[in-house]
Amino acid sequence: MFARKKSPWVMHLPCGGCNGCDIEVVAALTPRYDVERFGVLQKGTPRHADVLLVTGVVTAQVKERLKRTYEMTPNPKFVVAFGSCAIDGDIFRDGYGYAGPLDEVLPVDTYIPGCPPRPEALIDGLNKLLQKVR
Amino acid sequence: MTSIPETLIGLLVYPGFLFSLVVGGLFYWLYRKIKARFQARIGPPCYQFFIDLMKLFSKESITPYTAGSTMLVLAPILSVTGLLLAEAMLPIGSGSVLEFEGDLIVALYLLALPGIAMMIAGTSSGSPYGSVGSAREASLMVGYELPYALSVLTLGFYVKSLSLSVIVRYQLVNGAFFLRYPMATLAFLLCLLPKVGRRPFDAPEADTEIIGGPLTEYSGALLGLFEVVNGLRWFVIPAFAVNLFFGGGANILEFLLKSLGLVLLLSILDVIHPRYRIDQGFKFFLKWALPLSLVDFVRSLVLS
Repeated sequence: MFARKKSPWVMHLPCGGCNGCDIEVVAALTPRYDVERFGVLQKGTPRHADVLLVTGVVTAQVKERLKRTYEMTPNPKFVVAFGSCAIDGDIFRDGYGYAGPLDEVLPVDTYIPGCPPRPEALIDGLNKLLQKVR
Repeated sequence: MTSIPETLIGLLVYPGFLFSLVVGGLFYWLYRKIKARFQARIGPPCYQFFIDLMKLFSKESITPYTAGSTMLVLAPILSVTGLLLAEAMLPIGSGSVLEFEGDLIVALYLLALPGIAMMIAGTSSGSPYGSVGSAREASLMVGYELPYALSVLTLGFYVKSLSLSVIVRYQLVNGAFFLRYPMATLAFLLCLLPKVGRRPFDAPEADTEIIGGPLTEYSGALLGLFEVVNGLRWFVIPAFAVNLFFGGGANILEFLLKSLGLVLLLSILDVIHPRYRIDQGFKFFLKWALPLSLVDFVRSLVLS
């Protein structure tokens, strides 16, 4: 659907990461990259969001909360795994708090690899996600 | 007395719902574009507001189990109704849909409805962010409604009529009121900022502090209705100001150009200011806007 493609409202969900990805996400909102020209707005509440942007490893602490946040989001909703940690745990894979890759907790639509991915990668990933939206 | 179909068209198509939604949506886009250009960004395309609306209305609406569901649904409807009825009373270009003696007072009350609906929305959503947002809206409203109403009543006392069309016709003959009552105009313009929910008085919806404020728990179509309110108020509230202080418009083009000027002013004020804390915002209105409007109110009492 045309309207859904042109106005993805994003909620940024930092889990147990090192904050590197979060800074890159915020950088994508700055004047240099300006994602608002694609209709992307950052929202603070899952009720307003279409896309959940998950960064960092899924820890035992955050797992249930992640599921609850996903259930709070109104349909249709999409999940983007941002950064290597969200995809497979990266260097934290053997840690005691690690609770599985993100796609075992939530249905992930798009993976954006990198440690951390650049803001261009976020824009590209969102673009690929929206190509799939119909 | 106009017939029922004419009134319905006036309410729903022109100059009512559709017309003001389109113009308001474009004004809202203009605000976002100006903000983007000030920050050296490109900004959203001009159809962004309508796309957002279409998307929101196609989404699922969730009612949280902590929420009072009746009031949750009624609040945005109340808000849209208030703005639409107020809009029908405004003389846009030639004449208004509803016209009667005393419509100035009714319009004042109806334009307060969006704020009240915001308070209802926040308290009924059962979210702490919503409650904080409503409390802020309430205390800001106590601050700005008084100078707002006083500066409007200044004109009423001057022309000895509480009819909007009389005020507009008086200005078409004798020149706009902002020359005669500059201080009331200034106070009124200051009160427009919290009315459209813009900085420096956007504490009720401060997205960096209290997530979405009163709208935190809203989703899908209900949030879409609040977007409709947002679009409508970007047209209706500047239009009210144009009618009262800037001489209305002899035709629709002049009217729209004057509203555009006001929208530019509000947008620039929004962009160049940081947000006031809620107590600072409240104090600001009682300290500056209220005395300004009082001075002109007393002047109009003495002159008339």
